[in-house]
Amino acid sequence: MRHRMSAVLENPPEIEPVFDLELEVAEKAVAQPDDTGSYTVHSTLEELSGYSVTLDSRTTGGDLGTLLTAQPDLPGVILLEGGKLLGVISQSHYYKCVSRAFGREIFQGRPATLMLEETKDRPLVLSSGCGIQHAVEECLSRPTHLVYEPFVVHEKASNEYRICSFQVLLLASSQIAALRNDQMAQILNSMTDGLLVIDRHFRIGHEYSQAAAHIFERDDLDRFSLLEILAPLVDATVHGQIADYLKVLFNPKLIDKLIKTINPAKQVTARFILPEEHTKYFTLNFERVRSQGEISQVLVQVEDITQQRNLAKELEKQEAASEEKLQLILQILRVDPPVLREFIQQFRDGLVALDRLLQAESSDHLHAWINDLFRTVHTLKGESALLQLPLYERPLHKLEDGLAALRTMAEIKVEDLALISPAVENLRQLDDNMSSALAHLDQLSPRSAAATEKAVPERQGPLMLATRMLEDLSKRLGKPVSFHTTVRDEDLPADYREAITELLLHLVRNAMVHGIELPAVRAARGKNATGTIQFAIKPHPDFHEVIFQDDGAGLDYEKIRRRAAQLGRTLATPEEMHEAIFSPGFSTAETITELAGRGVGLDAIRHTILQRGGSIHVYSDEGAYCAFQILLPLTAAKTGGAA
Amino acid sequence: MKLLIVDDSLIVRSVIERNSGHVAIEESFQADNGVTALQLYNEHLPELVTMDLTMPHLDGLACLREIQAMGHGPSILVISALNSHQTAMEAVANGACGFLVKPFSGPELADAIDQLVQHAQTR
Repeated sequence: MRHRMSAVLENPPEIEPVFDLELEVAEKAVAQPDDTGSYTVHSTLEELSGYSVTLDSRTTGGDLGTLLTAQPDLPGVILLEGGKLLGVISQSHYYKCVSRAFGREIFQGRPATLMLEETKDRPLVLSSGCGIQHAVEECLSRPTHLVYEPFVVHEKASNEYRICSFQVLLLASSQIAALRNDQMAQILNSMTDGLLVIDRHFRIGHEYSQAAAHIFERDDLDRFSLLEILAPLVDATVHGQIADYLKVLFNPKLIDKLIKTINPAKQVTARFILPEEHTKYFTLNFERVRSQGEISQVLVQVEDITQQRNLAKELEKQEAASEEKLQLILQILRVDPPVLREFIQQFRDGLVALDRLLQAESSDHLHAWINDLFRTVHTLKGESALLQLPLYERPLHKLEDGLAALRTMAEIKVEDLALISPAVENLRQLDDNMSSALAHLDQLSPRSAAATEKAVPERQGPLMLATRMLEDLSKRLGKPVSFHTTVRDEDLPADYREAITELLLHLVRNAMVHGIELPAVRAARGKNATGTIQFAIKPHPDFHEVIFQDDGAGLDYEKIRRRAAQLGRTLATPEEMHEAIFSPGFSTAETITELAGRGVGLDAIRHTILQRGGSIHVYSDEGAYCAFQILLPLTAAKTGGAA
Repeated sequence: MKLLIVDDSLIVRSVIERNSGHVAIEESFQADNGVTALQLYNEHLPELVTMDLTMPHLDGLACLREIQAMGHGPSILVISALNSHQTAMEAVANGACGFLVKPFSGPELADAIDQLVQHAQTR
């Protein structure tokens, strides 16, 4: 029985159907494949569909033929003897046996086990716990002529055998591979990290995370090398450095951790041109993958750090604001608390008025409104200069410029107010910083304000302020001056305290800028080099009389006439000229400085006085003096008079 | 294993010595310039070298090249300020197997030395 005859057969005999044979054994033995549709990456042979077809050793070749013919899907049968595996007869092995000369006759009535003697090949038996992928490898490592043969799965616990086809195993394996791919794709798509792999030619691998595509703003990364992707984005020097570094990365002799320190791509600036120009910042981190002593590929992690960078920038800005607060603290520490409070209050009132202006809905009265605010801002600016608060002085000066520009317009429209809104915004920011600076100060020493007030009572109030302003202007303008007054702060009528402070400061500034001459001029005129300013308040039964006088140049009537002519007005009498100097926009100072020359000083004074129901008069002798007499009713008018 | 520490700063050398407490290091030598470094290298043939790049007499890169030319293939760690990308690349091209950027912290240095020892042991 050992000699083979199949080799000499030219025409294999036709196989007749074997339906007439008993099928009892076969029918019993056939099992349907297990219903295992979905595999996981951890699936084992336990889940693989197979046939529990075991025949005992008495089954004849004829019975087997009947079974295999009726069940063409059946990969083969398992032959057992006393629970022990004798072997496997696959479809192909059966047909090989029966197709030899007299094969049918030989095997028909004899035990099927006889067919096992026709081959020395043992069936592949795998444990049911074996992983699908591993099983594929096992099957593929069989001799070539057996690669497609079925194999046996052994369930150790129950000592049961199943026969499985290699085709089913391959299908399961490819299903699992697809599943793995899906999972990988899902991971790569949902990763917030940009991840890609490059080979030793720096070519980008097919699998890369969606985030990487997003950062580089292209979906075809795998068609290029990393250097090609970077070339249009980064500057040439950086590109060269990254190129050098990539070469270094593939040198297996280098220590992973200790070359990270020289990674030139820790912060790369990338300029994108399309769809519109924009800049991104990102970090490239490299992880080397070793296989067999070589660096086979490098994992590149791309992280978009634009936001972090912007946050850092924002932080810097905040630090600058803190710096401004600190400066404010330092500056306000020099200012007497009550005076500072007064200034801040006025400043905030001014801000409220400015906000209201910016919300104006119609262009009616905008001119008058802006004139009004211009005066306010001018006053505030003067005071901030006086209090040595440059952080206020500068933005107020800017706003004043804006308002001045508006004032010169023939017709102001609501849209034109946009001209000053950035400046107002700056001031609002400044006020916020001031509030928090003050809060800081309070925290540092809750009673410091009150304590200062008590310790130096003589430093508070308008007269001290005026005196300091005089000293300040005297120094800045180089005009020595002496201030004569018997008025003390407590003499100021309570109703008019604020108004008189404002008046006094205006008049002082006015006198110092326009009135008092430089010492040389005074000497030439035969006057004392040091100028004199007098201030007095006289009580009367139903009004206060405030007198302010300087021994300066007096009103320059010629200049006033010329200035009026420029503005298209003809002035004849001294009264007309006195009236003219109180009108908005009328100034004879030749250059505009932070101190004066915008024609608001006198304008502002009269505005305040008229609002309170009072009156103002000017007396002057050219080259000798200028005096202002202000009359204020005892009971201040609550609503303003004509402006 | 033997360690050669090359740096012109005494402070840096002693910091490196203090942090190179790996059990595998049995002996260490110090050189404050490239010429001394080469003499010591020739004499003791250390498996590990830490090398500063900016030194008097013979600078670090030249020293690296000389050591490399002797062919014993020690594991060399450059410990230097990263003045230019070019220098770092040259150091790596001339046989350094890692770069530690100054200034560094104690643990960073200790970790780097450990890596260096591991590198020398597995080659």
